[in-house]
Parts: sequence; C-alpha cells; structure tokens
Amino acid sequence: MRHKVSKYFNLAEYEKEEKWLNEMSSIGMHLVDVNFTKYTFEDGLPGEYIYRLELLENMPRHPQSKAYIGFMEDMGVEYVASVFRWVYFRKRASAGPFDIYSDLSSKLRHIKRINLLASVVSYANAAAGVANLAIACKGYIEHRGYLGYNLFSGVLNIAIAFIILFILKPIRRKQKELQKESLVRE
Amino acid sequence: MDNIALTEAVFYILISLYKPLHGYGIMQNVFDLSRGRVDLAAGTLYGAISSLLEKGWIQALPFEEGSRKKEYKITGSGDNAVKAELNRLQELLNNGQSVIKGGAL
Repeated sequence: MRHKVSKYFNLAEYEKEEKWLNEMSSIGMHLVDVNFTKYTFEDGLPGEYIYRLELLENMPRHPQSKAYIGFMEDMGVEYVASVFRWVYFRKRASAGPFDIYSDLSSKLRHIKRINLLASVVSYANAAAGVANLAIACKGYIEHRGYLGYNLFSGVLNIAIAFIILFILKPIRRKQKELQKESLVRE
Repeated sequence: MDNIALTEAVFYILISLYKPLHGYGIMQNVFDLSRGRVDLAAGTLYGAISSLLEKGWIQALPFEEGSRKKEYKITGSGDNAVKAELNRLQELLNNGQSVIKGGAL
C-alpha cells in the first residue's frame, strides 16, 4: 500500500531529512517518490533500505548526471526520485553500509556545492531586492509619494536573501570544520 | 612528474587497475587489499575515476559485447604516478621508522 506524507525540510536540513527517511524505512515505510514536500512511501520489510540524499552538479536529466546515476545503479544503488538537483538514492541494507562519500575531500566538495547554491539564490534575491527598491524610490520621487508593489517586493527579496544566509549557517560551519580537518588528514 | 601526494582512494584505485576492472570490481578489490579498512563509497569512487580519466592516468576500455558496465585500465602516465608515489611512501616509511627506532620519545 502507498502512503502520502507531507513534511518540510529546508536546504540545510538534508541530513535531518535523510535521518527521517531512514527512520521511516526502519518501520517498513520505503520512500518511492518525492514531490517537493509530498513524500510517497510504500509498505515493505522494516529496515530493508538505507536512504541517502545528494545535491548533484547538474539537473538529473543532464547527460553528466545520467552517467553518474547509471554508475550508481551499477554499484547496486537505486535512484528513487529527485527535487531540482537533489536526488534520493537507496540501497538494500543487506548489501552492507551505504554512504555516498567516504573521504574528506569528496564530503567537502558536496558541502561546497550546497553552499554555492544557497549563495547564488541568496545574492540573486539581494540583487532583485536592491533593483526593486531603486524602482520604488524613483517612483516615489517622480510620482509624489507613489510606492507601488516594488517596495513590498524589494523588502521581501532582501528578507529572503537574509533568511537563506541564516538557514545555511550550520552548513557553512560544517564546511569550515571539514576544511580545518583536511589540513591535517585526508 | 609533479611532486604530489596521492590520496588513499586514488592510490588504491590506480593499483587496482593494472588489470581491467569496472567500478564495482575496483571497490571490491580495494576493500580486499586493505582487508576491509578502505570501503570506497560510490560517489567518492566516481569522483576519483572522473579526475583520473581527465588526468589521463586511467582510460576507459571500449565496451565489450554484451557488457553494459564500463571497464577501466591504468595508462603509462598512471603507472609513472604510482611509481613516484611508492618512492615517496618508502621515504616516509624509512624516515618514520628510523626516528621511532632511535627512541625519539
């Protein structure tokens, strides 16, 4: 039987999300599809699968991503679903432990990818915010006090930019820790 | 040859490829060689293979009839890199052991 569950995780909570999916698996609920905040589970044996999330460099349909997903499948890893560049993988727990990365440099590369994505979205919002506020100011001066939607949009854009930077704080901290660690060991 | 230290993953992948192997074969070989100590995760292995192909230290073999999985093999420059690394490791080992045996503590 299939069950649909709604749950929200932000960009910095992918490990929490992974943990939740593995807890669901441990009670016999296996993720089979994801649509933003809607998760579809299928009944199965408790603990049959281990789930892992990864942010790919490209969209899942990109040839490079397809080659990577094909390689994962050759390694006994099943592609379950994707949301934008995030992919959901699973592997049978009977095949042993399942991690996507096993050394510091590859873990660091993944964290950097997440931080870069967050920065780009945040800066794009900040830029759009400044542009909107400039238009609002121009409108105010030229049309005697008329502000319009640009003030509202501009404030919203800048708020989003700050919220993203704030949410990503633990991921930035983790990147710093890994970078420090990588000075000492591999 | 650049004077660089190879990562553990890269070193073990290179010495696995003196005979042709596909990804899963490399992972198993590294696991066996290191007696279970180095368990390469799939994403890490893929990243290392991509970088080694780019460097020209390994090459992908043409697909064999009926085989879906890509096989890889070490190249001449890959072989040079392994030899340079072995020299470097030997130096580390010699220096480390001579200090420890000398009773540095």
